Amino acid sequence: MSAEPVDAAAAGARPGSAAREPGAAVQVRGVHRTFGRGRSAVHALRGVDLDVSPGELVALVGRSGSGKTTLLNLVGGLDRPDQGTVLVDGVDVAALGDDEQAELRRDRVAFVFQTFGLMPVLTAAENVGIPLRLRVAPVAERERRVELLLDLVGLAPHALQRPDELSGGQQQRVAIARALAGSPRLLVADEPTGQLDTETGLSVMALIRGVVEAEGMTALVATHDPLMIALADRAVRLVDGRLVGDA
Amino acid sequence: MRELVWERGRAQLGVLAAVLAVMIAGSALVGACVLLTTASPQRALQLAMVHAPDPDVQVSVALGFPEDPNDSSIDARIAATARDASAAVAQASSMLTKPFGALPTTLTTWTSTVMEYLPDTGDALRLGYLAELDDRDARGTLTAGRWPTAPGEVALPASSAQALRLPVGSTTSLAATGGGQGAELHVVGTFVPRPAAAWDEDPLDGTGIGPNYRGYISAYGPFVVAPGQLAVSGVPLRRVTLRAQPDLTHASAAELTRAGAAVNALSGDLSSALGGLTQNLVVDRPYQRTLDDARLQRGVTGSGVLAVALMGGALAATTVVLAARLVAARRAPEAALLTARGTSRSRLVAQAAVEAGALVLLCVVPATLLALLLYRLLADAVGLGPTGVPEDGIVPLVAVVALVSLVLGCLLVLPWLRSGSPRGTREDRVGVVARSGADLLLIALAVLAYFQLRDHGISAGATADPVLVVAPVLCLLAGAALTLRPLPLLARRADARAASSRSLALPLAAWGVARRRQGAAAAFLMVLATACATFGVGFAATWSQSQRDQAAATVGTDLSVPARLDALGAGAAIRTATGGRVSPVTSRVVTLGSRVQRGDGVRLVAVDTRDADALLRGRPSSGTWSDTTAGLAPTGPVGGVQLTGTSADLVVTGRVEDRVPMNADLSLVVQDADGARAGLPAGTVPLDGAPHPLAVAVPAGVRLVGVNARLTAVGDAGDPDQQSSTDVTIDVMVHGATLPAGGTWSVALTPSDDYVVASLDRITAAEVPGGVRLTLDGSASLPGIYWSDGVLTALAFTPVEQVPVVVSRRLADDLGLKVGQGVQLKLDLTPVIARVRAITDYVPSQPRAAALLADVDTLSRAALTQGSLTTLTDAWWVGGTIPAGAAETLEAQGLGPATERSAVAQESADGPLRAGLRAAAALLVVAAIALALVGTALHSTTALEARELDVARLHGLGAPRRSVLASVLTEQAVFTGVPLLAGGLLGALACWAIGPLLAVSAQGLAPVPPAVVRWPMTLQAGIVVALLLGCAALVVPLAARAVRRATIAQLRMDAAS
Repeated sequence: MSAEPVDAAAAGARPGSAAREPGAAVQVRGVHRTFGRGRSAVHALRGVDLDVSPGELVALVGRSGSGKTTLLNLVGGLDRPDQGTVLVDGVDVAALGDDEQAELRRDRVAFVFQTFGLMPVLTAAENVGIPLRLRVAPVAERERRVELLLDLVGLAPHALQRPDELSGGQQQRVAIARALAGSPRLLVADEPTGQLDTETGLSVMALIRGVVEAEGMTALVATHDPLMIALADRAVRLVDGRLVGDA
Repeated sequence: MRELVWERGRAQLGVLAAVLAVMIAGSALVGACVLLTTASPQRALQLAMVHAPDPDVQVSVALGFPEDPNDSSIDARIAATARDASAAVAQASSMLTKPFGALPTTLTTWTSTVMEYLPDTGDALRLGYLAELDDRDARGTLTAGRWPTAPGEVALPASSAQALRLPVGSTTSLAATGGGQGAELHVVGTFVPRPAAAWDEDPLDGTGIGPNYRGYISAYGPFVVAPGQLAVSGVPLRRVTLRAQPDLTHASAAELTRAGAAVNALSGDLSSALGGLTQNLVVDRPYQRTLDDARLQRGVTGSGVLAVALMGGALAATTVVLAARLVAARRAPEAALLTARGTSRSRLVAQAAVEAGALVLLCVVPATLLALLLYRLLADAVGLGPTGVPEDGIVPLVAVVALVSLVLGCLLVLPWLRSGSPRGTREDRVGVVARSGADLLLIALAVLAYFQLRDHGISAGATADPVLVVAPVLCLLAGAALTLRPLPLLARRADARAASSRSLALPLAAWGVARRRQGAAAAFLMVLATACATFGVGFAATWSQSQRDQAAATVGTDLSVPARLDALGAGAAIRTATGGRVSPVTSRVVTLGSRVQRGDGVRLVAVDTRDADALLRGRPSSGTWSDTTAGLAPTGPVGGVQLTGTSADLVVTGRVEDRVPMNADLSLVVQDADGARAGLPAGTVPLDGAPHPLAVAVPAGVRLVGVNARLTAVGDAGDPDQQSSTDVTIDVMVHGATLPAGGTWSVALTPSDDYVVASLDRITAAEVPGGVRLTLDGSASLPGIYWSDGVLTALAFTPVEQVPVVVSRRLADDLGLKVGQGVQLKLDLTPVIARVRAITDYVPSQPRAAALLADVDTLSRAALTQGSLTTLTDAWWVGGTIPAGAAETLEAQGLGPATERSAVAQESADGPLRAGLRAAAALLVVAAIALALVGTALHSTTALEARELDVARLHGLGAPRRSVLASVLTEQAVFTGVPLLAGGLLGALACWAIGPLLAVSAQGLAPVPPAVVRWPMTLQAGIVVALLLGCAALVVPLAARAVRRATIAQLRMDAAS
C-alpha cells in the first residue's frame, strides 16, 4: 500500500512551505516489522510504503500502538525491518551495519524523542554539543554552533543548566537544538509535544517548523496533535501498522 | 505489606542475596575475631603453660633459720624447728602441692645446715655444712665412691674434696666452734654438681668452694649425708627449700586458672601457717608469674584482634550502607509511586525494617557457622591445634553474631529514614555541610587517637586496651574520608578539561565521574577496603619484624647458654655443636657509682667486641654493633704460659728474706681458647726455701695468664711496733709448659688507698729446660702480714685501669652520664673504673635495663688488675647460623638450657599467645578484598543498569557502541581504580604512621628496639593489582552487558525512568 501525499492546503499545511527537491529523501517500501513470536507476536508494521521528499515536513499520525515509533526507528536506523527496504537519501538503512547506522544517525538523521532523551548530568549546552563531539568538530566551531542553536531555540540564558533544572518545554527545545547541531538532512521526531502542555507544545511545533524551513531539512514527525498536523506539509495516517491515507 | 515485601524480595532476589552475603561475611568476621579473643586465648594460654619450661611453672617456698638457734634472742619455736623441721616441712609440702589438685606434681626438697667449722689445720679457718638431697643422682654425678647410705657418711663436691684434700675414704668433722670437736664424717664419695639441676639453694651455688665466704674464712661443701640423717646429725638447719613442679601436659584451661587462683593465695596461707616457725619465709611463684605474663600477652594480642574485628566490622558496615543506598535508589520509583498513592514514610520505613529483620534472621545461623569454620581454620593454621566448640559454648558467639547482624540490618533501614528523595544530580548544600562536619569530627577523633597511641604506654592488663583497639580503626576511617576529599576536586578539574576536548568518550567519562553522586559510598568502601588490606599485610610484616627485632634484642645473640660451674673449656664444646662464633660473656647486676643495687639494678654485659657484628644481635641505634663497640676491646696482647695436658704440674719454691714463717696460698689464672678466664686454687705451700710440688687440674689447651699468691704469716708477730718489710721470692716452675712469643708479664695494681701488706715488685718468666719458670719478687710488711693477708698478683698482660663502656640510654638518662665521663662500678666487691665511650638505645640482651656494654677481655683484665680472680664468665654467646638440633645437643651435654634467638622470635611472633593477631590480620586482608569486590559488584551493577538509558540515548544520537563502552569503562575505571590506588596509598601511609605504634611488645610495652615499618611491597602491590583485576573482571562484563542491553525500547520508556 502506498500513501499518496495529501494536499498541503487541504491538510492544513502552511502556505509557502519549502520548495521540494527532486527525488525522495526517505523512501519506504513494503516494510514489515513484527515484535515477538507466535501468538504473542505484535505486528507493528504491515507492508508500509512511504516517500518523503527533500525539505518536506511530514506528520505521521496515528493512535498509540499504530506503529509510528517503529516506522521512525526504522527510518533512523535504530531498528531493522523484517521485510522491505528503507532508503534515506538513497541509502538502504537496513543494509547498514551497526556502526554505519550509527554514522547515519550522526551525520544525516537526527532524532527528537517524546521523552527528550537528554543526558541528565550534562548542561543544556553540553547536550547540544554531543553531535558535534561525535563528529570531533573543532572546539571553537562547536561552541559557536551550540551558542547559535541555543539562541535559536531561545535558551541561551539557560545554557549552563542541567535538564532537571529546566521545564519540559525547555528540555524539548534543548533536544531540538541538539538534533539540529549536526546539521542533519532528516529530522525524525517522535511525538515531540507528547509530554508538553498545549501552549508549550505549540511553541515547540512552531520551532520545528521554523528550523525545518531555516535549515532546509526534511522532517518526519510522529504526532497525534492536530496543531502539529496543521503545521506539516502533509500528514499520513498509520492504523494498525498500515498507512491508510491522509490524515 | 508482608505480601509487598515478599513479592519485591522475590523480584530482587539477586541484590538481596548480595546484601545477605555481606551481612553474613561481616558478622562471621567479627564472630571469628571474637572467638580469637575469647576461645583462642584460652587454648593459647593452655598451650603456653603446657610448653613453658619447668622452672617457669614451679612454686617454691624457702624456710630460713637463724645461724645460731641457741641464741637466746631467737624464738623458741623457731629454734625448735631449726633442730627438727619435719612437721613444718610436711605442712609446707601439703600446702605447696594442694593448688594443683589432681595434676601430677613432683615435690623436691633441699635441706642444708648452718656453717660449722672444719678441723683446724693450723693455717686458716674453714667452714663446711651438711645437706640432704632428695634426688642425688639428678643433682650430681659421682666422680668417685658412692652416695652415702649410713649415718656419718658423706659425699662432697670434687672441687671441695680436692681443696680440702679429702679423698674418698678420708674422714673429717664439723664443729660448732673453731677448733671444737664435732661428729666424725666419713667421705664415701665425691661428685660434680649437674649444671642442669638447680643449685640456687646452695649457699656456694654448687661451686663447692666459697673463698672469703665469711670475711677471710672460706667455705666448702655441701657434705651430702644419707637420706634422713640430717635431722639426727645434731647440726641445726639453716635452709629448707621445697619446690613443687606440676605436670601440666594434660591440664585444661580451667584447671590452670583454678591452680593460678590457688597459687595466688599461697603466699598468705604459707605465711600464716609457717611464719611463726621460721626466721624468714620466702614464697616464689613462677607459676603465677608465667600465668600472669601469659594473660598479659593474651590481653595485648586480644587488643590487636579486636582492632581487626572493628576494622572488619567497619568494612562490613560500609558495604551494607552502600548496598542499602543502592537498594533504596533502585526502589526510588516504587517509593515515589507508593508515596504518591498515599503511603506514609513511616510505612516505607516499616517495610524496610521488616525486610531487614528477615535478613537478620537469615543471617545469624550461617554467620555463626561461618565464624566457627573460620576460627577453626585460623586456629589450625596458627598452630593452636584442633579446636572444638569453645569452652564457654557457642551462646556468646551467637549473641555477638546476632548483635552484629542486627546492627548491619539497622543500617539497611537508614536510607529510608532520610527525609526527601534525591532529586537532582547536584549535591544539596545541607548534605555537603553535614558530611563535612562528620568528616571533621572523624578526623579530629583520629588525630586524638593517633596522639594517644603515640604517647601511649599500652595498658598492661589482661583485658583489651581501648586505645589499641579503636585508634587504628579511627585513623583508617578518617584517612578514607580525607582521601576522598581531593577526589572531587580532581574530578572537577577533569570536568573542566572535558569542556575543551573535541571528542565525547573521555569527556563523558569525566562528566560522569565528576557529576554522578552515587560513587561516593562505593569509593569510600574501595578506599577503606584497600587501605585495610594493604595496612593489614604491612602491619603484619611490621609487627612480625618488630617481634623478631625484640627477640634479637632480648637474647642479644643467636644462641645463649648459661655458663656452668666449670666454665673453662666449654666454649670448644659449644663451638663444635653450633659451628658459630663463640664468646664468653659477663652478664650480671653491678653496683654503679652511688646507684643502689636493686632488683632492676644496673646490668653489665661484657662480650668479645672484636667481632661484634658476628656475635651481637638486635638492631643498634645507628650503624652496626662494630661501630657501636669500637674501642672497647683491649689493644695489647695476652702472653702467659701455654700449659699442656689436663694438669698444671707445679713446683713452688718460696723464700722469705728474714725467714719470717709464711705460707703462700697459690692460685692460677688460666684462660681457654675462647678467652674465658678463671682462677683455680693451686694449694698452699710454706715459703721455706724448699720445693713443693702442686698439681692443678685444668682443661686441655688452656694458658696460664696470671699467678696469685696470698701470703699469710704463721705464728705471732713478736714486737708489733717494729715496722719493717721483708723480701719475698716465689719461684713457680711449670713443668711441660711453653712460653709463647709476645706478651709481657706485669704486676697487678696495688691499691693506693689501703695499707699495703705485700707488694709485687717484679715478675719474670723464662723458658727453662722442662718448662717455664715464673719468679715473683716482692715484699711483705711487718708486722702487717701477721694481721692480714698480703697478696701478690702477676699478670700476663699490661694492667688495665679503665674499662671503656657503652651505656644504655636509660642509664645515661638516669645518672646523667655523658660520653667521656668516668664512673666506678663494682663487680661483686671489686671496683673497676668505667669510662663512657658511647651511648646506645639499649644493650643486647638487656633491652629495657639500665645497662653497660663492655668488652669481656678488657673487663676481665681490669678485674684481674684489681686482684680479683673470680670468673666473669656467666654465659656463652654464639653468633652465626645455628644448626637445627644444636640446642638439644648442648643440653644433652649438660650445657643447657640454650636460648636460641630464632626460637624466641618464633615464639614471639607465632607462639600460641601471639599468633591470633597475625591470623586476624590475614582474615582482615581476605575480608577486605572480598568486601571490596562485593561492593564493586553491587555498585557497578546498579550504576551500569542506571547507565543503560544514557547508553541508549547516546546510541540514538549516533555514538557507536564501542565508543560508548569505552566511555562507560573509563568512567568505571576511574570510579574503582582511583579509590583503589588511593586506598593502597592510605594503607601504606597508615602502615608507616601507626603500624610501628601498634607493634608493641608481648607485655604491651613500647618495643625495644623501636619498630620500623616493614613494606611487603610485592604483597601490597599484589593486593592492589588483584583488586584492580578483580574489579575489572566484574565491571567489564557488566559494562559490556549494559551497552549491549541498551535498546530503543528504553528510549520509549525514558519517561518512566
